Amino acid sequence: MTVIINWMDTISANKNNSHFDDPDYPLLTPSVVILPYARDKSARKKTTSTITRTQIKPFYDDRYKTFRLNGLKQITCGSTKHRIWIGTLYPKFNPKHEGHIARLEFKIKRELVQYLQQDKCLTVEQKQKYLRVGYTLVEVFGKTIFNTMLGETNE
Amino acid sequence: MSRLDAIIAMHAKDYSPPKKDRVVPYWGFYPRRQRKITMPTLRKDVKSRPGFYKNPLNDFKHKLNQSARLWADYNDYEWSDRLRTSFGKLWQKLFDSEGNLRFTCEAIDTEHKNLLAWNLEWQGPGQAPFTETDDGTLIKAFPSIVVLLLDNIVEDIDGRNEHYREATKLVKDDEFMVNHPFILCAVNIDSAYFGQDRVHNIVSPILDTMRIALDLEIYDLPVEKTQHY
Repeated sequence: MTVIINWMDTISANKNNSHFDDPDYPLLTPSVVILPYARDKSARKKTTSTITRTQIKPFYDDRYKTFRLNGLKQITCGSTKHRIWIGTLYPKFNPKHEGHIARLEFKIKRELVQYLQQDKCLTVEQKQKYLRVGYTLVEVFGKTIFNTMLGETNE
Repeated sequence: MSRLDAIIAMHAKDYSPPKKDRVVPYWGFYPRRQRKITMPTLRKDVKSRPGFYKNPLNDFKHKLNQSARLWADYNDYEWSDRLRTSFGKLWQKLFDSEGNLRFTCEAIDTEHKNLLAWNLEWQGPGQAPFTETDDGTLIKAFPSIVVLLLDNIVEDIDGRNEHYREATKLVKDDEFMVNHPFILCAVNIDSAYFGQDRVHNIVSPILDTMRIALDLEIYDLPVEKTQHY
């Protein structure tokens, strides 16, 4: 449940972010994604900056200007990012091919759909907006892992 | 689990052998950047191009090529000769010697206008590919019935569930959308399993094929089921 809350918090923070409007999101970079306040202390960024230290640790490595990770170990089971962004949705996540990433994306998307369906406060338009932003984030997440996986294979 | 633990667990009948991952994307890639359309547009499209939806696998090689290009574009790859050759080699094995697909797809006549359905059967040669259900069980992907709902709001009033009811009759499962709540669903009709264990989850050769054939981003159209008491 916590994992989906983290996703929902991030979606909520970015629901009016115009960088998510373009269907193929060419303008979307780590610097324009708004990171929400992390509810769980252990999910916060490890930084000395007082401005960003309460923010959630993103699924990408924010030392880079593009969406990428330093290595797959940063997202496979046992890692902090795995606990924050994947957790019980895919407990033994250790991608070997694109299918594993597609499966992970599907599981998160389905969880978002089911979570929003239970919400009685949002209008249909608001739900659609949340889903659109959510799907973009999930796809960027998948692409980040895929590119990291390919990078490791090529090395 | 150590060998000793496995032996103990086996005697306690609490052991299941580790599963081998045999499900990889059937066409060598996971379809990306398919058409993102709304439900009214899809309904209009079905009305204006009945032939396209009646025989979705027509001209499949061309559609496959287009989808692979979109996939390459999505992943920032150049559509190079090398990539084309490697896909070509893989696809060669997925067609028979005459260049036909190894499975057939026949449209099923449905009573409700908001429902399309197809029957997909494996012709071979070779063994039918596998797909995975929600709990990780592997089942054969064929034979399967695929349903496409043309109304993604299923309500218990005003007859807005009749298309869904017809779909449940076709796939012989009342709750087939629990694990896959999106407009296009594939259900194995010849499996030893029941219920959710027959519903395809991704990565599924059939769902991928139908997404390529219909050029449709199905995950943009979730099905909302509402109940009125």
